[in-house]
Parts: sequence; C-alpha cells; structure tokens
Amino acid sequence: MPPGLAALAQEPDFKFAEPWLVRSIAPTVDEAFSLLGPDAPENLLPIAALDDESFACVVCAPAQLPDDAGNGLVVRWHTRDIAPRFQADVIDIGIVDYVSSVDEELAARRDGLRRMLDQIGPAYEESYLDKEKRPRDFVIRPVRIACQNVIVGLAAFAQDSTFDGLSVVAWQTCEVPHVATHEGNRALAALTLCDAFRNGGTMEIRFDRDARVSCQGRRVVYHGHVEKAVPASLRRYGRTVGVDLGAKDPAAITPAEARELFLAVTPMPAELRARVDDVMATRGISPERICFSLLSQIWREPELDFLLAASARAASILEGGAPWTDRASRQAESEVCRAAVMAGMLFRRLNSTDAAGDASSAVRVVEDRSKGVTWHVDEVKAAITFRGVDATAPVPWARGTGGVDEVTVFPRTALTSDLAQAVAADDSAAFKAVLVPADVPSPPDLDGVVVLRCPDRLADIDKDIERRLLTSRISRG
Amino acid sequence: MSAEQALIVGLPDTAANRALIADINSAAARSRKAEPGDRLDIARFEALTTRLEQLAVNDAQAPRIEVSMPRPSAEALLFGFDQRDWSPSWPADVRAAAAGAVAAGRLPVLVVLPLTEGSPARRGDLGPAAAPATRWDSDGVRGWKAVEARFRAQLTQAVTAAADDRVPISPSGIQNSVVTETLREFTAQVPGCARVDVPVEYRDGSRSAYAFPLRSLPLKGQLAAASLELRFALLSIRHTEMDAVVDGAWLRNAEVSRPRPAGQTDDLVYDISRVQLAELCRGESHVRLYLYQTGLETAVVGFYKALADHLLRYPRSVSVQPMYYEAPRGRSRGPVGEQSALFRKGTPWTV
Repeated sequence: MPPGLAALAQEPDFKFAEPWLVRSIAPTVDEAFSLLGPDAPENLLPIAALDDESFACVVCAPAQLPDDAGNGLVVRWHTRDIAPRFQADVIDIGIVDYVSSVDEELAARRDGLRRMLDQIGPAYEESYLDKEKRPRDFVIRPVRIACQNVIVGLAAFAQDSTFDGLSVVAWQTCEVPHVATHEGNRALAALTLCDAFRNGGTMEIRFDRDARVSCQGRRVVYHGHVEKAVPASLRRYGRTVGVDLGAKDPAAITPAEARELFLAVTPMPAELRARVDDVMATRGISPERICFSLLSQIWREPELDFLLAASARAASILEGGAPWTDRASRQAESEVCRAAVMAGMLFRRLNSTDAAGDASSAVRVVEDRSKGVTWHVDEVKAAITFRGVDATAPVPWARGTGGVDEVTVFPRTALTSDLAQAVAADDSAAFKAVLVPADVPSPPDLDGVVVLRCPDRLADIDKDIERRLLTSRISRG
Repeated sequence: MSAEQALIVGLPDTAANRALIADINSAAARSRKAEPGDRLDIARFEALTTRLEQLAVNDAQAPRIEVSMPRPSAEALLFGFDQRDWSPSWPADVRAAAAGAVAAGRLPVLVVLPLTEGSPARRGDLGPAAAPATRWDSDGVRGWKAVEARFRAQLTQAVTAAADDRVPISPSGIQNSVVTETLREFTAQVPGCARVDVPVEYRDGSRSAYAFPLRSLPLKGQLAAASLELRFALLSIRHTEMDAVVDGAWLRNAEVSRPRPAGQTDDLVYDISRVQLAELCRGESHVRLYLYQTGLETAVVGFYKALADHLLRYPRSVSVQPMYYEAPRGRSRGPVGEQSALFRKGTPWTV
C-alpha cells in the first residue's frame, strides 16, 4: 500500500468507502495496483472501474510529501495509450465524496434508465415524433447525447411555470473509453442550461417537482428525479470545476449556481474567458447570453472574441442588433459582424485538416481534425492574429502565398488606400493581410498589401448575419 | 476596442445614384408598413443601403467630411437631397455636412467605419451584468395554483409599488385562463385606489409598447343585454374543435404566430384588436363577444389590454365572455354537436 494511502485509511470517513472500493475491481489492494499497468504512477490507488479501459484512482501522496497538492484527488487512469493530456483527469476532489456520489448514482441508475427508455422516450415518440409535432416548452422532452453511437447522457426535462424554471425528471451520464472525463456531464449540463435559458425563466433547475407523461393510454406520474436531488454525477462534475451545486437547496440548482455552472461548461480559451469576465463586470452583458451564444454557435469563439474586443456595440449585437431605423448604429454593427464572420471563416479554414481533397486517402475523416490554431485579437487595431498555422501549406485565399505559421488579418468590407497604408505600416512581425468579401473592389494603389478574399460575397455574409441576429432576438422566451 | 469614425461622403449626382436612393426610400416606406417580425422589406432596405454605403466608401474621388458619431436613436435615416426626409435626430454637424454636400450638387451619404485604429469615444460601459434572477418560492403550493400565485404576486407588487420601483409583469408561460382571470381581477377598480399602468415584459426580454391599465375599470359580474352577439376563436387554425361553435376567428394565426420578439406580437394583437373592437361597436348599442381562447399569452394579454383601453374610452360598448378550452378526458371525443361542452366560461369583462 502506498504510504499516503495508509494515512488516508486512518480517516473515519474512509472506513465507509474502503470495503466497497477494492472489492469492486480486485480481491486485494495489491491486485488492484496491478490493474493499472507498468506506466502508471506509483501513488495511484485504483478504487473502481470507470469503464472497460480506465479506473478511478485515488492520488496518494508520498510519505515525504504529505501536503502534496494532488493528495486525495480522484483521477481517471486509462490503461490503453491515449494522448497524455487526457491521462489522470480529475474525477472528483475527494475519495469520500466520490464513493458516496457513485453509490447514489448507481442506486438510481436502473430506475432512471427504465424511466427514460420505457416511459419518457416512447411517450415522446408517440405524442410528438410520430405525429411530426413540435413540443411546447412545458412538455417533458427527452434528450440523448451520444458520441460515435455510444450514449453518454440521458435526460428529460420541461419548463415548469410553478417556479418559472426547468424541472428535471431524469438525468444520468456515464464515462466511456473514447470520451474525455466528465464530458458526458459537461455536455448534458450545457444542453440542460441552454434549454433553461431558451425557455426564459429564472434559470432555476429543480429535481423534485411532480411531472407526468402519458404513454399508450397510461398515465405515469413522477415525483421529481429518482435521486430527489441534484444528481450525484452532476454534483461530482461541479466539484471538479469549483461549482458547489445544490449547496443552498439540495434539490435545486439556484439561478446563481446555474450562472456559475454555465460559465464552467462553456469552453473558452483563456483570453476569451478573461474578456468575458471583463464585459460581464463592465458592459452589462449577461453571462448566460454569452454562454448560450457560444454553445448554440450563434457566434463561434473567435467571432465572439472579435466582437467583444473590437467593438463597444457587442451588447446590442448579442441581443439581436439595433433597429433598422437607426441606420448609423446598424451600419456600425453590421461592419463589426461582417468582420467577425470573415475572421471566423478564415479560422475554420486554417484550423481544419479535412482531407476532402486528399487523393492519397481513401477515407474522409471529419471528426477531431483540428490543427490547434490559436488566435489573439488586437482590440485597438481590430486585427486578429492566428498562430500555429500550417507553414507547409499556402495561406487560404492568398493566391499561393504561404510558408508562415502566424497570420495577422484586418477583416474589413472596404479596401481603401488608407487601410492599405495602415496595414503596410503595421509593425507586426507576422504575415499581414486585409481580409475582405469576395466582391469588394480593389483600389490600384494597394502598396503591396496582401488581400485575402473570403469565398462569400458581402450579400451572402449579410444574410448569415441576419440569421444570427434573428436567432439572438427570438432564442429566449 | 477600436474607434468609430463617421463621414459624410458626397456621391456624384447621377441617375443611377438617384435611382438607388429612390429605391432605398421606397424600401424604407414599405418596411415601416410591414407587420412586426416581417423582415422581407427590411432586408431589401438594408441590402440597398449597404450598396449605397459601399459606393461611398469605395469612391476615392468623392469629397468626405468627418462628423461626430450619431448617438443611438429610434429613427436615424439620411437619404437623398430633401432635408425634410432626414431624421431630426441627426447631430447639427452631420446635418451641416450633409447640407454642404447637397449645396455642392452631391448626394450626401453617411458612412460609419467602426473598426478604425484608436480608442473609442464611448466604451459602451454599462456597469456589471444584472444579478441572477430571484427564485420564486411557491410555499408548497403546486400545479396551476402555484402559477396563479406567482402571477398574482407580480400584479400585487405592481399595484402596490411606488411608480419608480414598479417592475413589469411577465405573463410568459402562464395558462391563458389564469392570465385572463387574474388580469380581470386586477383590472377592476378598487375604491380609494388609483389606476396603475403597468408595463408588460416577456421572458425573451421584449417589452410591449402599451402598458396594462390595472385598477382602471368598474367591472361587473353580469353580462348586459346585447344588440349583437358574436362568438370568436381568439386565433384561427389553433383548435379546430372551436370551428363548430364560433362565428369567426378574432386573429389570423398566420399573422400572429411568427418568429418575432413576444412584445411585438403583443403590440400587433393590441393594434388589431383596438381597430376591430371600434369597428364592431360602431352602430351597436352593446356588443357581446364570446371569446374561445387558446394558450398564446401574447395574444391573450394584447387582446385584454386593447379591451381595457377600449372600455376606458367607450364604457359599456362591449362585454367579453372568456371561454376556456378544456381537453376531453380519455381518448374519445364526442361528435361535433357536443363540442361546446369542451369549453367552460370564465368571468365576464363588462362594465
């Protein structure tokens, strides 16, 4: 037994967990260690099988480092080769929390599954799918999240006017070998929160309210979620991202907790996250709207970053834009949106490794094919720099120019001599270019500035923007 | 963030540019007449104005004067030679620069360049984001009673708060019978209490242009004798069960159920209802309407707001008997002749 575990075993709560632990995977502690393989760190004690290819392990501090930072964390150890960044992801912050939460989760799993698969799913199919009818928000709607045909999350919820929030009657997730740790929880939480936002209520999410469905003429009544509380798996995920769910009311995620959770489940690079924190504090933009815009991809990450960084009008844009009668505001917002859309388009082109045109490959793989390009927005110049660009390939839309790993673009919809001079005079060391729509005329004196012409014309971009703004206007309520 | 620059550009006075401006003005006029949520003419207007603005930006020879950036305004259009067509909200220097362009025989075009290098004059600072919403606790009450209690609490808060502290009522997601009955209760006059106009805001954040006049009408419980009695479904093509018992539909579903902010739908229903109520009551001593309602809260609130305002102006001209649809129990439904049994009467709105 590692020395750290011996100390841990002295704690009173540990006694509750210990019999359950090792017996679930091996007859003895030593045999449990052998399951991890030779590459595993020596201070990991496996306590439970997460799936066929990974174990939940307690991090035991070496005796000489009793206050080691990771001591007591529960992490996931994969027994097959995976990318190092996915190895030893935190599952929970403590063994007792982990064991008790898994206990609660597993105790409710069978009833929850039966509820989803035998009752709510068929009822929804009978009442809505078969009739090609769209349900209102107060109808219990089942949700299923799958990755490569493996289901990782199931839930069912409905907007409940009695407390003006979302009532959840089913919510369960699982870990599977090919999906990152807690990704099922994160994705299902994101979907749940987006639904709560779209319904327009207070964002409170309750797990203890009555609900009923009718299936094949039979009425089934549920008295809340099977666990009658915020599901243990969701609380466990919350602990790993620093959000204490159900702290104020064990059966509910309060609006304040929902806000924290929404921010936690929405993926953002560090720079964008810092900008979001800033605009929340100074420009009155609600974090729920930002998270919803990102998760529903109304605005993608580099686009939103550009909007927030380069324009004082981001709040109005995220709410659907100025009225058409205020042409000056509308003009300014349109120009910023067009620049953001073009920058987003270029980012996807730079970051994609889709081998559609690759004659040497027989199979076209479209999943997980990003190159890892990052971006930085210069908020004063309203320029965006892409880093980590493939230097062996030509820069897209640059007529063969290439051989660079960093590209700075100035997205605009007019190509003027003044702009060309400003770009030429820019002291950035990166490859610089103006990014314009396909149909923008070029002045004769471009001063050698490279022009990237995105494939869409101005009118096409405007249609795309109109769609996004309309979605922003009517997505809530 | 970057700075914004506004320019008045004087485009050449050519037949093509004049035609473009005429098209823009035509599209603007059509857009004003369009129903709320109908973006067809607005999209045309914006496409045409973008063309004009692009012409101005790309014309290197056209004279241009930098002007102050106009502040956000409800109406800010500046197209063509005629200054009477320019919105009055434009700053003086914008109007002067535009007038200068006209005097020089050129067509003034306002061009806004928002991504100019520099610091903005206005950062758009609005302070911190609104705090998370307050939870509603129904004190153990469940089901529709809890919904009613929540809506009632909103209305009570609205009529008791001082004018400065008054928050809008939000009827989103509440059953139409609960909305109708609770609003009726609070629309009735209370001795010693003044009328309270309370704004209506929906869950999408949109607010109706018309406030609801609470404590404004001396409502009675008995319907008066009528010279004309009509039965209307509130919305067409919603519940075909109603077709057998109604004379017509008050609102066309195709007009009302469109993707648009809820506040705009409320306003549309209000405007239509005011016109139709005035038309129906013309030449009649008293009109009685049986309104077979459906669950679109924007339509319900818009209609009763219009009814209240109509009754304030023409007392005793009309009374409305709400009829609430009740889904039949079990799967079997009776023949058409028995369909009226699917509705129950609400409390009449009559003075």
